[in-house]
Amino acid sequence: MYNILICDDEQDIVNALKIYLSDPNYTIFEAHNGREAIEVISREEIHLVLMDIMMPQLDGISAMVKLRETNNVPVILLTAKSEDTDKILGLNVGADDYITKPFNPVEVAARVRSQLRRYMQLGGSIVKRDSYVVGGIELNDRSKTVAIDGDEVNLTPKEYDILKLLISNAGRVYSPKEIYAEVWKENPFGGENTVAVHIRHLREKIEINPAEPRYLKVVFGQGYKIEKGKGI
Amino acid sequence: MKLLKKSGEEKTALIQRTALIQRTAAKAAAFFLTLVMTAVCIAGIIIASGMAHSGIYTKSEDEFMREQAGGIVQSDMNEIVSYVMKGRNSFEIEEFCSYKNISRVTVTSEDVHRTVWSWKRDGEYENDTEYNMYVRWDNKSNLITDISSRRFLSDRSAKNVEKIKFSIHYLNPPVIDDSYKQRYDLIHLAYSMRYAVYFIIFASAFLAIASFVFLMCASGHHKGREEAEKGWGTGFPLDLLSAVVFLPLFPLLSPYNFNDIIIVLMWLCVWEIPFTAFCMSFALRVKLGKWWRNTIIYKFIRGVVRIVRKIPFVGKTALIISGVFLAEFILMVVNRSSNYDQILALWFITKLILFSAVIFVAVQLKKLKQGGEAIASGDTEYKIDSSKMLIPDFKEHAENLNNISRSVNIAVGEKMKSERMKTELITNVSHDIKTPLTSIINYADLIGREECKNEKITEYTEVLLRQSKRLKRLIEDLVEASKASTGNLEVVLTPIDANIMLMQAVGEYEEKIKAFDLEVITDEPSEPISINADGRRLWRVFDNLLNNICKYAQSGTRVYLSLGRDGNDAVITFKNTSSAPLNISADELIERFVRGDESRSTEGNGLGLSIAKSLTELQNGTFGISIDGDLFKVVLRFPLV
Repeated sequence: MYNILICDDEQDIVNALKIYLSDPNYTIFEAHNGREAIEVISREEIHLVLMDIMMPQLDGISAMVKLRETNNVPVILLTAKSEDTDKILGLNVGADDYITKPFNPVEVAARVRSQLRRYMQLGGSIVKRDSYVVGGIELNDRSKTVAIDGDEVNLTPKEYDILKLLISNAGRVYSPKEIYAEVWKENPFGGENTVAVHIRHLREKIEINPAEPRYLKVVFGQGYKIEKGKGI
Repeated sequence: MKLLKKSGEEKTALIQRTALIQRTAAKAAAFFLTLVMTAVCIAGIIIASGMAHSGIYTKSEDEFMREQAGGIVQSDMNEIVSYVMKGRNSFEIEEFCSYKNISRVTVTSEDVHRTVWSWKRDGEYENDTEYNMYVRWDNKSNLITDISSRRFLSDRSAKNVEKIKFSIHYLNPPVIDDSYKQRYDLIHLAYSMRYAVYFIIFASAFLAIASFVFLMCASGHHKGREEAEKGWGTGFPLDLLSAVVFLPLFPLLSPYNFNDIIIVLMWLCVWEIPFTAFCMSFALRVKLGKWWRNTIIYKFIRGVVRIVRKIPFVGKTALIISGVFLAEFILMVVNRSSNYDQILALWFITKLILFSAVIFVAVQLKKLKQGGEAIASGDTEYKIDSSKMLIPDFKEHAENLNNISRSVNIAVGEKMKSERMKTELITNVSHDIKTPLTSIINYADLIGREECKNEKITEYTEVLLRQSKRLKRLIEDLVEASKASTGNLEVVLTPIDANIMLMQAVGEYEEKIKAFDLEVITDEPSEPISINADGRRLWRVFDNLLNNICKYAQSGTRVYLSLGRDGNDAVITFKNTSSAPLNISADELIERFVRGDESRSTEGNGLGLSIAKSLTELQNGTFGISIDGDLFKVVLRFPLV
């Protein structure tokens, strides 16, 4: 059983989210401003918070700053603000994920699931030998398996090799040529064109929203990388 | 002693100027002192030059005395000669001599060396001064034929002429009050004072200058006032005042009057009074500043300048040029009789002046032209330096141009500000729209999930969902378009490999393009092409263009993407065949909300190209569209690294 707090000043949105997140495993709490949210969190054991930014009395950012003083619960920000600076600010003050309004309900449900899994199951687990973990991705080189938020995904050998190359050097940008040379073990005479396609496929498998990847980032004009750290 | 004391006062006066210059008594004293000392000085100079002329500085006192007393001795001698020669009573001569400072008289005949007549005052006089006189005497006619203070050297006389020597001794020093004694005393005084005169000249000159300087400093200062005030006839035009003061000097310059030195000097002494007053007035005018303003000449010139200024520029130019030509013509006519060389020199000089004037005008015109060009090309910060433009019309023109650029600058600033405010407004409004839109999308979605027997409801819900999603996209694009077009977007330019960029873009779109039954053909050089761009913004450009291609390209056709190098630019070209006829110009197509298909039935909102263009330009690139029939071509150019 997971306790989820939905905090938005729009009752209609809260209701819609309640419907989307109606799951026997979830118990939904609701709040309509930052103050109420903090009150609920201090009273109940909350496992995940979905929080709007623009709210009366206490806005989402301030509420989260206050929350983070004592609590490590995952917070997904839900907001109409879509500018990059808003996203960066939200993540910097301690948000775990960021969804812009109007949102895709399926994506919200997926992200909620992802955050809950990571928080409840992976949070304390010991990292096994021969495995690489970035955010919700876990690549086990011994069993040659990849799990996203605990769910195993099927990757082709090339996709697996590309992911392994990038995850084992998380943070480093690989150009398509380098990836081709490392994975295909061949001289890239134009063959690197296929890298982009493979990356695209890989992203569809490991990302909730491939258009806005959390882990496998496209560095345009340079190459690809796996974001170091928790990943968004 | 009195003079020295005053000089001391003057010194303290100079030191305590601030206090003293405000005292009327001090000023009156200084004025008086100036006049007196100048007069003394002039008199001293006259005396000294007179004394120098008479040889007081080169001769001994005795010698000088002899020279100066010569006239008196002569008259005494004549008296005695006439007494002796006319054989008057010797008692009368003795009486005459005893009333003079004469101690002894001896008359001897030169021819026979015997004393004819002698007289001696009682007592001993050792320091007598002796004067001799030589007389030639005609026995026959009893007349004096010749008198001289020197001995006759040649004897041209006849037999009956007798040579007689008169020897007169004067008392030294004289005791009897007669003309000789008066002369003697005067000479003695002059002789003993001959160097003191110099001292008097210098002292009086010093005092005169000191008091004059004090007067100049003090003029215009009044009791209890810090600054100099008007007065001393400052209201009177300076040149008129000068004429009044200096004109009386002109008669003195004529040689006739100059000879009469005493009158001249007296005249100068009197003239000193208005002159000193004039100097004080002038000093005060200088202190008040712009002393030349209160002159008739200045006012006249200013009036002329004002009149000339009022004449329009063309008229003025015509006036000046015709003036120059007239002057030239007059000079030619006047010099008509003179030789060829002179005319040539004159021609050369006038042309040289004309040449420099024309060049001067041309230089200013060049400055104006440069400024006009700079402003016309949009450099609103450009300022024409009008400080060195001496022609008022040009100066005015330069200032007008500067004002234009300033107002354009202000207008541009306002425009930018209003654009920024518009962007802010759009952003804020979009936030407010997004919240209800979220509910619309979500509840439409929820309706769609409900199982419904009525097919129409399902269909309508789909429309609702599709259109609300389009609205969402439109709002996002609107915000982006507004930000991109106002440059209200952070752009971080870094070197980017255009080959990789193109490859990544194609990779991202490969499947979508295939889904639309299109074939992508890329053409890129083997050498890497590096450009300065912001990867994410550039991706947005590619994204929009490829998205457009997917939307508007005729399915089953080929899409060409090429990368190349053209001079210092990297050129990226997107080519596709449009599915709908493009009855629209390339420029119109970039306008916001304009789409190639007029029906507007397909998805898309017409912001894509506008955003792509703005973003390209923000990255210092150019965005060109060309339409050739159904061939739609976009050319991006970025400067190479």
